[in-house]
Amino acid sequence: MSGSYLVQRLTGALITLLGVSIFVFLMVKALPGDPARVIAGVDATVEEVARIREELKLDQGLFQQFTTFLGDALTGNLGTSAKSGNPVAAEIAARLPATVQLAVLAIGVATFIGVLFGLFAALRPNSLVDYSLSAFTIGASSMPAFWLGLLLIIVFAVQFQVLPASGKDTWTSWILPTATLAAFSVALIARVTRAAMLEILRQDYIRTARAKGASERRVFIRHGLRNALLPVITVIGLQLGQLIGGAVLTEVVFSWPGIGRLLVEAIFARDFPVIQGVILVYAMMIVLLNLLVDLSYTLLDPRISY
Amino acid sequence: MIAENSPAIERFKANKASAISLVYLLVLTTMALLAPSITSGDPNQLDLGQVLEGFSGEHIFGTDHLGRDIATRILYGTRLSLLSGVGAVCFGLAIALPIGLFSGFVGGVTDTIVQRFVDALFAFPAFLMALALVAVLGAGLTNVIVAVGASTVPPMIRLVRSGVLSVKSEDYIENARSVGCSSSRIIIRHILPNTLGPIIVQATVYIGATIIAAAGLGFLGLGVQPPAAEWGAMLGEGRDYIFTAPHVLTVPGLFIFVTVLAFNYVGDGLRDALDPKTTKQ
Repeated sequence: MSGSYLVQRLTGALITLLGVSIFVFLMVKALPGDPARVIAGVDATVEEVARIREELKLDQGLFQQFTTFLGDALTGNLGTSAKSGNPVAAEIAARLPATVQLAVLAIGVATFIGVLFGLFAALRPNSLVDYSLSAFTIGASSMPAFWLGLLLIIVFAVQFQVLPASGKDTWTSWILPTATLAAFSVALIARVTRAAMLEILRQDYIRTARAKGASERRVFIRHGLRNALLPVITVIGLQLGQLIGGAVLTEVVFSWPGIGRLLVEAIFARDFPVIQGVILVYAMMIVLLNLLVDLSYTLLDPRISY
Repeated sequence: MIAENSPAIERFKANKASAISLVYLLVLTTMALLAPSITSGDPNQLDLGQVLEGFSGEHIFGTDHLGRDIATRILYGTRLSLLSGVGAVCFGLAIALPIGLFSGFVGGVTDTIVQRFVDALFAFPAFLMALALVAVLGAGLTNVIVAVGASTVPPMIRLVRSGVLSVKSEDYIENARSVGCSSSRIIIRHILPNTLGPIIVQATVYIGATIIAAAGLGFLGLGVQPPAAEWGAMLGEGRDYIFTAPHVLTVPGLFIFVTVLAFNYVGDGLRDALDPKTTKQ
């Protein structure tokens, strides 16, 4: 891996983070009224507002305010929640594990089912499995996540009463949120696996492997699957970022104590320090994941070097 | 653009799912536009004597927690959901089209900078972006259209730009330049019409996604505000009755699902019809 590629990727990641920081910083400025009052919240006393004005250096220039904000954020100081009065970083830290655990579990389940589904579809193109994959793909991309979640609750919690409708108390309460979140990635992972497999199976070296008498099974797994994995892993990495960010509605439907629900609660309470903090944390995680996916190319496929 | 009975139209008609979907969308749109002539009911008419009733002849989809007729609300909700979905795509396109055309046409450093920004925005999940914008703008139909529309801008810029790049080096562009056409004339008269096909296809598919996003905001209570009947908001309001009257949730959700499905099928059909090369084997 050449250094210039690494530098280019890192620069890209930094630009994204800088962009999000600027957006999050300007967000409060764009609101009507005094930013100090907006950040302090509706119930703040005059002293509190004055303290925040001092903290944010609101009497100084915009650029100076931004560097203060960025410096604070980089040192883990995301401000104080207007609603609870706790540090925003602590509130996020308390809710972050639930979001990450759910996303990781969902991507694990989605990978297992998706890769199997995609392999079977590629093995028998135009078969029933293949057709049901196309139907499932278009169905999943048309299904609002929150409605899928509500339907699962209606069936499994209301009708059959076998699974809890909300919370995170027992292992059974993980099943419905995971299924809701994984459904969309299953379709995508299966489709990419199928396409990559079909592409690989057309290659010359597959014909060579067959010609020299390798068994179908060996051709398929040893020569096909191994080479098809690269695009699949890319999709999995990118999907994990999307899942972490896209889980907001799933978290709300299942009252899951993650940062997505924290964000929605903060939007309703107009608790801007929390809104800013959660968006920054989301951006940081997604940028980091995308960077890892990019860099993992070279490790997974020695032919690729930048 | 496409002649009557052209192969493209024949191919679209041959795709049954797409053709049925198109008919469904046309019927749905017509019914939404003619809503007041179809039903004399008022979507916000309360009837506290008949709350959470099931399906019946009088109320074909039952009533909600305030005794409002769900069928009437669905019908009027179609207007809001289609308007927010189509509106968001138009808003996104209005921003992305000039940027994508310009970036792709001039190329060079400008293009690189624009693409870096697009890449940077692309990484951010669209719904999260819409949510962040609504946090600033506030709820309401216009803000939902703006927020959801803005979240479609990065992928659309990329789409428009790739269309420009694919026709930019064609001979007819070179010819137009050699007879002295100005850059803006080349972009508008020669590049735009030739890139419009894939843009229209993608826009159709995006309408499905924007309807889901707008409904998601409505569901959270951050979209079109009550008592307005919007499909997502109907789901959000009905959430508390999931244990007693699940039909208040199943019916609006089904309409979102089927309508988005129809947009996706129409998009698929258009793609196959306009570009037979990409047809699935």
